[in-house]
Amino acid sequence: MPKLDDLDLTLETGSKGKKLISPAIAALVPIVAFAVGVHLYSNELLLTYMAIYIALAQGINIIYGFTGYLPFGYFGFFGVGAYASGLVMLDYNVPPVLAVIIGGVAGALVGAILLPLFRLRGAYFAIGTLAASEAIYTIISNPSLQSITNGPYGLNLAGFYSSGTAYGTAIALAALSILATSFVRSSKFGLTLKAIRDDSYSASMAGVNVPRQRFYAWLIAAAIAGMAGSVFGWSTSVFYPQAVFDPALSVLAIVFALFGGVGTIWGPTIGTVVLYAIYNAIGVSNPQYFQLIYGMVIVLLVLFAPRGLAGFWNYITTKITTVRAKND
Amino acid sequence: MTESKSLLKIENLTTIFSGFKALNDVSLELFQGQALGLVGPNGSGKTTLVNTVCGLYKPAHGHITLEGLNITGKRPHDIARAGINRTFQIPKPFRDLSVYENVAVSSIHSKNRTSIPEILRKVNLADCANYPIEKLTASQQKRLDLARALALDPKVIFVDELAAGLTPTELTEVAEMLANFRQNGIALIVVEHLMGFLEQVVDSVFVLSAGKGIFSGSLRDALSDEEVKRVFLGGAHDA
Ligand SMILES: Nc1ncnc2c1ncn2[C@@H]1O[C@H](COP(=O)(O)OP(=O)(O)OP(=O)(O)O)[C@@H](O)[C@H]1O
Ligand SMILES: [Mg+2]
Repeated sequence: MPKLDDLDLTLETGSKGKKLISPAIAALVPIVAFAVGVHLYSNELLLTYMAIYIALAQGINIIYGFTGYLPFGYFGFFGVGAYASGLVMLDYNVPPVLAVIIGGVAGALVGAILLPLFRLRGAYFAIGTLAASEAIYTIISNPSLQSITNGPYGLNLAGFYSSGTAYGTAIALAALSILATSFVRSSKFGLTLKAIRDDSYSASMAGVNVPRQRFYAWLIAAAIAGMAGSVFGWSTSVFYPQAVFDPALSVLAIVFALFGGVGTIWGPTIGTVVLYAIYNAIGVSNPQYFQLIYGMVIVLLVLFAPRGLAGFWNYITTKITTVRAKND
Repeated sequence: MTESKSLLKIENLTTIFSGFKALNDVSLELFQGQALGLVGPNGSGKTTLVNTVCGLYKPAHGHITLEGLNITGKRPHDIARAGINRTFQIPKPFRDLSVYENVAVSSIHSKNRTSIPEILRKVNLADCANYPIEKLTASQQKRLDLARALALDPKVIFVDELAAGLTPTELTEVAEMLANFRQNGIALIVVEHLMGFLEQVVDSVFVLSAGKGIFSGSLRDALSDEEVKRVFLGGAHDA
């Protein structure tokens, strides 16, 4: 992309200073909350997973919220990341934090390979990614690849277990994903993506190389999921292929992101914290009602807050301002 | 204005939609600084010609060059960057972006960046920079299409039915705007049904009928041409 120092996009979005502060807050608040939270609530693994889900929900936010492409098969990158990082740890004794980065690169590489899926639209794209991820799962878990991937028996990373560092890495990943969303939202890149989402042919006549810009968003989302899978594998320490290639991962990440509100910075974070907490609370106390209650929550949301919590929040704040303006 | 150097050359262009020839062997040439009217009854292929030149449809046959550079079947953003741009019969703004941001998208992806406020001034939208799209009138949305085109520093702009639905005051405003573009060296192909407006804006016309070019010359000659008269009186008129 050309250099654009002189292009002033702050006209609409507020001052330059504000543009740096609000992403910093959006990333710092979860960091502090997780750092403090672990002392108040001792289930560190649950908090680790929550941080991982924040990253996944932000990844969905970037690809769906800014391009309109909804990948049901998003879990594929998660699984690829878990395996790539796990294997470099086991086979080459790569330190876990570096392995997490390698997992992200592996996710992005697979994203690049799956690029032709963007020829599909809407539901076909969603299902196409699902099929691709199932295919990757079938390959990795295949017994004939046992010498490389350990086939259906999964990976055992117990030798690398280090709960504190893994937790810290999960928090850092959540913060990184939030910063990635902030970047996409307030940059020229994000503006371009929104234009493509609104009308891709118009965008191309505005000089935008549409497939390339979409590809960048896709790579970022894939890398985030790859890293998320890596942290998951590391912190879980023993996993089977079906645990990291689990369509439920995509479903939850999508629901969390939609619930909070896609296209926003805070939405997916808050959506994940609230719903994942409910998910665990109901799942633990009343497992038999879990599906029912969770399903009802989602239906109510879709009916009454289709733009997620963020949309609801905007609605309330505009109401309040108009009421105040009237009273003045 | 002297029009000598050939800018855009369209040769034997044919566009087919599942067997139907919406454009049938159309050839025309546009010169630097020229404003050419593209007229014809509803469904004669005017918008299809714009869409084909601008890369939305791949032609079945034919050849399109811009200053000798082959752009046939090129991708839309390559065509836009090469210097051809357009407006839409039904404006297609980026609905989630403000007026300013709409133009910024083009500006970001342009080689020679011009100032956005300057462009908005050229299309009389300077006061609406921060407006969301819903606040724009139809005429303003059409001018926003123009602004986005201008931001890419085009050599040619296809203007698809800019005048329809405008008030007389707005028509004059738009006609002046187009005259200004020409003075800045931009050639225009103006798709239009309103003859009065065309008369103010173009110096020659190209007439399409059922996908075929049937006339090329001055507007006055076109209006007295037997075949052109027959086509217009026979077909649907002024939608
Ligand atoms: N994408 C498409 N698929 C199939 N047929 C199309 C498509 N676009 C245009 N056509 C057909 O091609 C013919 C020419 O349409 P076009 O829109 O180019 O006409 P036009 O001259 O711009 O008409 P108008 O004055 O009404 O805008 C019409 O019969 C139309 O139905
Ligand atoms: Mg038309």
